[in-house]
Amino acid sequence: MNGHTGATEAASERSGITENPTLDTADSALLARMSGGDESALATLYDRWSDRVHSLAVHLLRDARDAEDIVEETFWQAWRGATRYDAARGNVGTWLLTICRSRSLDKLRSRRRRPEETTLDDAHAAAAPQPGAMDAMVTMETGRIVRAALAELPIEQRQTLELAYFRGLSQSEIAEKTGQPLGTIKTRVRLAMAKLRDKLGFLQEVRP
Amino acid sequence: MTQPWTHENTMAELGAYALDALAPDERAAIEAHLKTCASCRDELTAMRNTAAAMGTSVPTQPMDRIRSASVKQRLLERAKAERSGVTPIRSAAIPARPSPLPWWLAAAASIAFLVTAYQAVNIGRERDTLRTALISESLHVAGLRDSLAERERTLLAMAGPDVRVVELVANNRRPNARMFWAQSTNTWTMFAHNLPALPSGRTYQLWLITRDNQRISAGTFAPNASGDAAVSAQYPLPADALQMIAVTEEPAGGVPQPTGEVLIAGQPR
Repeated sequence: MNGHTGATEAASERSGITENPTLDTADSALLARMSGGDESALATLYDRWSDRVHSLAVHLLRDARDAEDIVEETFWQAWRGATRYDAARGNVGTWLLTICRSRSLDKLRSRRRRPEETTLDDAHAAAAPQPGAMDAMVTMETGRIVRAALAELPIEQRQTLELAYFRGLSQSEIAEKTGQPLGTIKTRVRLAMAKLRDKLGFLQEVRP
Repeated sequence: MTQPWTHENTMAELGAYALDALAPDERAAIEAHLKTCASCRDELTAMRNTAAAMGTSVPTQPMDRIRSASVKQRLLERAKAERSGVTPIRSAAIPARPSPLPWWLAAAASIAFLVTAYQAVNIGRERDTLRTALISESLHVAGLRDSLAERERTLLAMAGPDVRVVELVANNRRPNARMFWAQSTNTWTMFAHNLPALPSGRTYQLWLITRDNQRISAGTFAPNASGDAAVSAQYPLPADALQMIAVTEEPAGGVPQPTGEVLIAGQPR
């Protein structure tokens, strides 16, 4: 918890309040069980994260069928790589979304080499009831906060970040395609990422 | 062998590294430095979390429940088969995709379709094309904003009866917060904004106030430089017992009962 101190923990203990244990410690425990070959842990991780992984895949690929494949591949890679997961390199959600983005961008790049038709029917999966209303609420709220932080960035910084994150372009590719010097693009990425890190770090306290 | 970058050069490019937006030689030089620098590894973790946060900014689009269950089942079969050394059949039958889309999702989808169709033809050709695509992306974002507001209203309406929402506000001041209370799991999560910076030796403290006037501490917190904070706690409370949620400023470490002025407060809807 932000600003938590030993004295506070003592006060919390008196009042019977406990910090929410359903956050990343629970996800890390699932990964540990998956390392030991426990498939039920994979099932639980899937229930907790598949909607968020799917949301990112659909947004990147704009294709429901491809997004489903990415969801399966992301969790398969998590299952296969559970023994190599290192909590020091980022929390479980970060890890899953990073795998999802990486696989999605691979697909996007191969699609650019071989353009395919995308139909409106495939563009989005239908909305469905949420499995965990609280997770959905927290995801909605954090999404709103992240969008607000992105909107506060100068437009050229925001667009540079969007090209890098959502289109998977390198800084050199962005420079080439926008006609801006590489140094300018690097400065925009550096400033924008530093601002976002400062602005959004507090969300790590309540990772959904 | 790749020559490692200096600490300063590496720190400047860790955001781009986390976005996977570097050239291969730059990547290798940073990785060489990371092997020997703990503070850069910590900074990279923060940057990776920041990059992943961008992934949560996209509209929530849950998979259809039936199709999601099929994907899950296939994953579990693959996992089981891997252990037993049997190769599973890759393509389990998945039922046809249901429709139609809700109107607000359809509106977002049609904008996405226009952008995608445009991209399929033109992306990657020349600068002018990309500039136009940037405009399209902005239109896409603007178009999504309205449907997102609608979606949020829908989600809030869907939250009940398990999740209750409490808006915390101040009198004629900017601080505000939104608290989510999941009664089935006794989980409380609050997001607060525009909080004034705390004087040295002071903290904010969150209180659950019951109908019989018990004041239960739900922990202390401090805002970041932008005045934002997030707090999560677990505490069992009967559904009709909550009267109010409040935040006070207190001595560092917190107090058993509130002593300071109420900064923000709200009642459950």
